[in-house]
Amino acid sequence: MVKALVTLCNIFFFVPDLFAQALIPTLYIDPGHGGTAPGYPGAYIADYDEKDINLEVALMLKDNLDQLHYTSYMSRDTDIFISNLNRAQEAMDLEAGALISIHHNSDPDPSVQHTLALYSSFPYVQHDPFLTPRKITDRLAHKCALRIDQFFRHGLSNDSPRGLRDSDTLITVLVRTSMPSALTEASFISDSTEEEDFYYRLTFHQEKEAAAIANAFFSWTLGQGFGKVDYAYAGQTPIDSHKVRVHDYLNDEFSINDTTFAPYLGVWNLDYLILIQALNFNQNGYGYQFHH
Amino acid sequence: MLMHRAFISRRRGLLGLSLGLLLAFLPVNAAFSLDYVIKEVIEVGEADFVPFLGPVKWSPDGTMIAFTKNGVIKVSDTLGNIREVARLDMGVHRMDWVSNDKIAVQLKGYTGQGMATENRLSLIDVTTGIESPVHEYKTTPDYKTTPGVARASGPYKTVEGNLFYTLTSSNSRGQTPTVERKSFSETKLESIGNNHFLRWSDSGLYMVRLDESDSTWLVSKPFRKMGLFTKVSHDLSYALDGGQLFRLRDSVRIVLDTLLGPVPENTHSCDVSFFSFNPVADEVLFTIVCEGGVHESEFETFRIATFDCNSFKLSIIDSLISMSNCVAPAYSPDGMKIAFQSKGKVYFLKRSLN
Repeated sequence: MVKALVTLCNIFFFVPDLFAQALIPTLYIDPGHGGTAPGYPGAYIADYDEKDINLEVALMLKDNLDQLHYTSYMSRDTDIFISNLNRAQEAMDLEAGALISIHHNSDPDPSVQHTLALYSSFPYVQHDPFLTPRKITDRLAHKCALRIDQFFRHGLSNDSPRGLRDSDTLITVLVRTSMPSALTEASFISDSTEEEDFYYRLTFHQEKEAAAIANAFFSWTLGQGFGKVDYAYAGQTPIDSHKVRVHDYLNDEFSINDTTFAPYLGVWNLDYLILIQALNFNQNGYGYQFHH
Repeated sequence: MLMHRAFISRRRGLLGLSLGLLLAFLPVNAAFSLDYVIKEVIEVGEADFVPFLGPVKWSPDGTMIAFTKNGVIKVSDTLGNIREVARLDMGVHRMDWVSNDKIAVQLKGYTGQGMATENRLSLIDVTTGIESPVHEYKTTPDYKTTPGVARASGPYKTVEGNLFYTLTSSNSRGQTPTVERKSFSETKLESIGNNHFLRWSDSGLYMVRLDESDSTWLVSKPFRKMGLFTKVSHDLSYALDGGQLFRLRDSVRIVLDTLLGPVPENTHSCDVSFFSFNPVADEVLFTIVCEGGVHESEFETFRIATFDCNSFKLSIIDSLISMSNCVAPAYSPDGMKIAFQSKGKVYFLKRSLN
């Protein structure tokens, strides 16, 4: 039984690799701020600011994608200032398939802690009817928020839907690009514990966040299904139950409509990545495969 | 000291030299210095500011500019007379003049199903508005292309000023995509190999023949990260990449964004964008982008400026013409006029030689 599971896991381990070679959705990774723009200062540790954490996570995300042969680009890989206008222009010129901007949050109240992802519904070229449909972009952001929350367990922000916010015209890299894009605010570094976790690296915070975003990107790229797998339940499900509980987000606005049971083929648990792939998922007339 | 640091990026010289030290090594070469005087500013009309399209596009003979407004391609003469050229069924992703009567456009539209897109590379007749597709392809909801159908991208400009586009073969499993560079003009196909594009590698900046059969090393690479929009001057004496100006004969580097003050209140950083060389002189034209605030309170401001590579004279044009938020400037082919945008409108700046 264990051997069969391991074999199954190995098969699924190569799934993203094969898909990566067959697809060309490149990711533009944007570590926010940099150089003379430090972003939010950390709570207590001097000279360790948001820009440093953003870059560390971004480099690890790039490494994750490289290992799976996904093509990705970075707006910066050192501590330099690049204007958001130039970042947006570069992403567009590279014709990246998606853009994820990595940021971290701060609040005067050091007890505030949650995960948030932003998208923009603002049509930059205001009268161009051929813009990226909003639902593509906000689903990328929502997947990022969900995955980061699964890894960090800080809880999602109270925005509606939870963990997701429309930045409207505010965020340049989201507004001035036409590809699906998201900006992640994984956690609050004004929380001294959180800042220390990033700084001392004892809890692998950077690795967790990078893996979460990579997982979100894979999920968004590979799957046409949009749902949140109840990982706690799935992880504890006996292998012979052949059930995975899936919260359905297939309808827009991300309301949880139903609890659905679908046959699954395996549970992949590698380091911090959890991949659950349920095939033949079919509900409300949606006949496509469901990947997570 | 804090204020000084706040407005200077961390870009530094090849040997970590400060700007002042670099300037001390720069002898003045007046051979290509031209002393321009601003004559007048003419308002053309409303236009979209679309960063990825870049500045408005000058026709090769310098008599017209092309820009977009509400998804419509328009042209204007230098007196500000605007004419609608074409209404397109997809968004304009790239655009430039192939000749005085044809504009090349790359069009892209999301269909609303996943990442499914429709893409078309076309030539548009400026007189009739008739569109002639050069290459079309679609992507599926998971961003695949049909096997055997190449992706087209362009127009791009060679160092010599000619336009070309790329055809990238469909990236099937286990295959490295191949890139073919082609001219929009069939008659130029034979000579396209004599054109060059710029490429950064680990050892520096190279000018590479379009057929990649030969290359010329231009300057060392000072940083790991370099931009995509590197430009070289008309006589190949300077290269410009973002806020960094390289003198190619000795690799001396001037960091433009150390020269940008004074800056708007609460600004934390400035950068250089939309930069180009004067087609006939050693002068640089660029946009100064300054950012301030963090997240919810973020703001950005624009100004345009010229920098004389030989006399090191920096001119902030916004203040010279009493305008604000000027952005995306573009030289006319003779270098005497500058088209730019400000607050949703296009303007011409006419200059004369002193």
